[in-house]
Amino acid sequence: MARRPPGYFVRQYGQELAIVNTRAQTVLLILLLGLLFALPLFLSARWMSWFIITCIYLIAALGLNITIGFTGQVSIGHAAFMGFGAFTGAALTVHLQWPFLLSLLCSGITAAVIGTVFSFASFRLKGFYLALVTIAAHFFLHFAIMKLPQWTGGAYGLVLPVPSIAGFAFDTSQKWFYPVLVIALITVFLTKNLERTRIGKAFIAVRDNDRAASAVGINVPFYKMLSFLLGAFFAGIAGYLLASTYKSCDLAYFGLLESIWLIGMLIVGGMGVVTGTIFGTVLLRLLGFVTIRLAPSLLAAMPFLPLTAATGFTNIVFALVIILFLIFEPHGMNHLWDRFKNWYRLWPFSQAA
Amino acid sequence: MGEHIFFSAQDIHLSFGALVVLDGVSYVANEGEILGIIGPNGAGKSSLLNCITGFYRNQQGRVFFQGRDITHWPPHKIAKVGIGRTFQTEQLCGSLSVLDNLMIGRHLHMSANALEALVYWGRARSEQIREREKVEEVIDLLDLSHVRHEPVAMLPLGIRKRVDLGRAIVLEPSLVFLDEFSVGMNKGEKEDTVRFILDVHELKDVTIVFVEHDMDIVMDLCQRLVVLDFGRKLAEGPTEEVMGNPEVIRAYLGVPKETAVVAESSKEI
Amino acid sequence: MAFVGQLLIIGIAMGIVYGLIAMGFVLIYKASGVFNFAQAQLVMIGAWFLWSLLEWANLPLVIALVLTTVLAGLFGWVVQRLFLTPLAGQPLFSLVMITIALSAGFDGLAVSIWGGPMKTYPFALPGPESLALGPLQIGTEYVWVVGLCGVALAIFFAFFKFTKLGLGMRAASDNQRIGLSCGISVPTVFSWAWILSAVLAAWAGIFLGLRLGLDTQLHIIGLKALPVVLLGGLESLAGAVIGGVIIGLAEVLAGAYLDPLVGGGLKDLFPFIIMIIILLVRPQGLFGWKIIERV
Repeated sequence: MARRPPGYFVRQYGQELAIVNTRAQTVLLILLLGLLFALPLFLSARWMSWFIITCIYLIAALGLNITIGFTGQVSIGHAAFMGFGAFTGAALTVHLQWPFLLSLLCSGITAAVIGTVFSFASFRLKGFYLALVTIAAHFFLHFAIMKLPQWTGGAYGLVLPVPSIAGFAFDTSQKWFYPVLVIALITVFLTKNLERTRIGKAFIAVRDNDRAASAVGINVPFYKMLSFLLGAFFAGIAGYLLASTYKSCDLAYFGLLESIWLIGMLIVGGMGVVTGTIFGTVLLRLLGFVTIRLAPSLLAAMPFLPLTAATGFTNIVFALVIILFLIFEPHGMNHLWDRFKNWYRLWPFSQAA
Repeated sequence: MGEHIFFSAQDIHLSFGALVVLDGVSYVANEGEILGIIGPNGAGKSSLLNCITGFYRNQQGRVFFQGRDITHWPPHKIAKVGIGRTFQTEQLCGSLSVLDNLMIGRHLHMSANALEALVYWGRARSEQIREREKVEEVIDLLDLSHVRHEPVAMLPLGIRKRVDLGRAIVLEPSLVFLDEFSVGMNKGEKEDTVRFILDVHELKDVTIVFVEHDMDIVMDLCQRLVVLDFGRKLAEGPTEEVMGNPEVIRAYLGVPKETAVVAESSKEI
Repeated sequence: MAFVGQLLIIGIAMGIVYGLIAMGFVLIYKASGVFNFAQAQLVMIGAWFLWSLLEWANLPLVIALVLTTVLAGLFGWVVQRLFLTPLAGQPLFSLVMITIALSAGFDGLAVSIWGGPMKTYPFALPGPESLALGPLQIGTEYVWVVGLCGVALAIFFAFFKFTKLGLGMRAASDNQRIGLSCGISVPTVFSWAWILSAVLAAWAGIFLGLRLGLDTQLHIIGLKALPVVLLGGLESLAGAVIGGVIIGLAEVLAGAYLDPLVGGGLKDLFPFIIMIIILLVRPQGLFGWKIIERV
């Protein structure tokens, strides 16, 4: 854990709970927010689209962090929850012409319900047994989508219109950037709040020692269910946002590989801590961006490789990064960041840390 | 059952397959007393406790608390009704600090729901502050102030046991079961912890049940005793009376050789 | 009647292939407690090894088969040494996550090297196309599969029961420290578990490739082996094969009788439905040990 900045003394309990401590931190936060909101002014189109998709994956990852990070319930079906939400919202938008915000909410709710159903497995199973059941979520998604082609478009998926709220159409990525950013920021805020309240503490108790948790009155099965519910809710929201960004809803976006990516983001960033999730998501998305840029050069250098090597290459790098973190820094980038902060705050007496 | 009886366990039977652990054990605990449950290793003391608190499922028998039948209730409901417990191997959330472990113990005294928690609105925040004050009281009582921000996995056994005790107390139960808390502690640690327990007993007016094998503690503190042996109750009553009971003495100290031979041969006749 | 018989044979044969894959899972789990999510990828890579040796190196079939076996074993050993040994002693979650990451990485590797359109093996199994057994026609490849599996099972049975290494593996999987203190080299045990597992996977992959053709989606079939493992019980090699046969039959029968009812698609989902039912009703499977992490 990082120490507090030197010279900062806590005088009230409420202060200890605060997210932002010193005035310097408040100023930094405001500057950061200002910077984020000003991004469309100077980012290129490619980076804009990268940023939007990253925010969306962040929302999903924050949800997964509630299920795995806080509550310790291994779930490798998160992308499937995204898919359930996305197809629900897309179907409502395309077939029933429901407004964007309402479809968004329904995506979240549908995914939350599906997540709750899968949570029942967690009442009796732990660890990789639970993981196996959550993997099955992908097969169920596939089956459901194929069985209802009149709603879901089957193998072809659905084509979505430009998202709009109250008549204002987000037809350029500059305009679409803002709703996505706002929802992402709200999600960060909500999940960070969860960390410091009774519910979040109950989640962590379930993760660390469910016997102790039940001995103090925490209804363990209920909280497991709640963690899936909340996690899947955010997944559903992210799924629909993703479909709205691509203007299409396709099974390919919500496969087992995407679920593994999401867990990878949590591992690389630091499991169980909201700032860790942010680190991990940004890092892996950057990695994806870089490898896709490098892919043509790679193919040129090794022309005997099939064209598919481009995507294959991304996955190899991604797997290596996760494995490196698992071996050398299992607590993720967040831990590295804490160590840096300690070094910085104690300097020049950093050895004391 | 009558409302006068504070706590009673009746005819508890527990077996794991062919192994009979508890064979019809019954006892009562009176409000405000310090009760001891003793017996040699393997007598079933901890299993009895686990049945009562919902961690094991007894095949037969009922448990009553303050007029309610709490048999087979899950642990979290038992905590809700006001029964706390510690564990033989202290059960703590290793990655969390002492403070956080105790704050978790205040779970039932807080009430913010998920929506309020997400937004950190109103009582979600105020109750964290309010409960923090309560928890600090217990931290002071148990002399844990100097380690309260340390992750518990790093702390020595004696302190971890105190945190386990604190977790049980912070629940504000009316009845607390202490499961062999003296295991692994040296004399000094035991004396310190006993002092805390007595403080708690006086200040918070809690009924305490010691599940113990340390006879010093039992003799000094407990007003009444229940003795178990091989899953059966040998005796129940005021401490001096029970300790003078010949069956109890025999279970603990064994029988001299000649008497055993005589007993055997008299059986054959 | 002949139709049902034909179905049963296909189901049993596919099931035995699943069983081979599942045996690989069980081996690694028995020896080290690790659940290898990347097993399906080992299947796929083993199959591709053979193809590469035949197509790119133009080796004769028998040499290619032997070399594939060796290469597959080597690959398993490398993976275990490189990625799992450094994590020794870490919580199980990390170990499981590493195999999950490996599965994604191997997918990427396969796509990079062998991606593109589906390919087939440039050889056919010796012997007639199919044998006649009464009114039924049995494809020869099924006979090979059953035969091979029988041989593999017999070898492993003897290995675990009679050889020093085999006994060591059983001891080490039960309790690593006790195994160590009895002089069993736990790292050796782990390495051999992975080597043998990879070899089994490769052979299963070869059969799948023969029957279905080779493409980078082969690992999805490997995923179907997961329900098999659970049905048979994680600790039982024989259970893996029996479970495989049951799932293979169930899948084929579901395809024939249930799919028409729901308009198709249930065949792939069916093994997972069975898996969920097993997990909820009897998590230790048919022959597994009842020490499951249940709440």
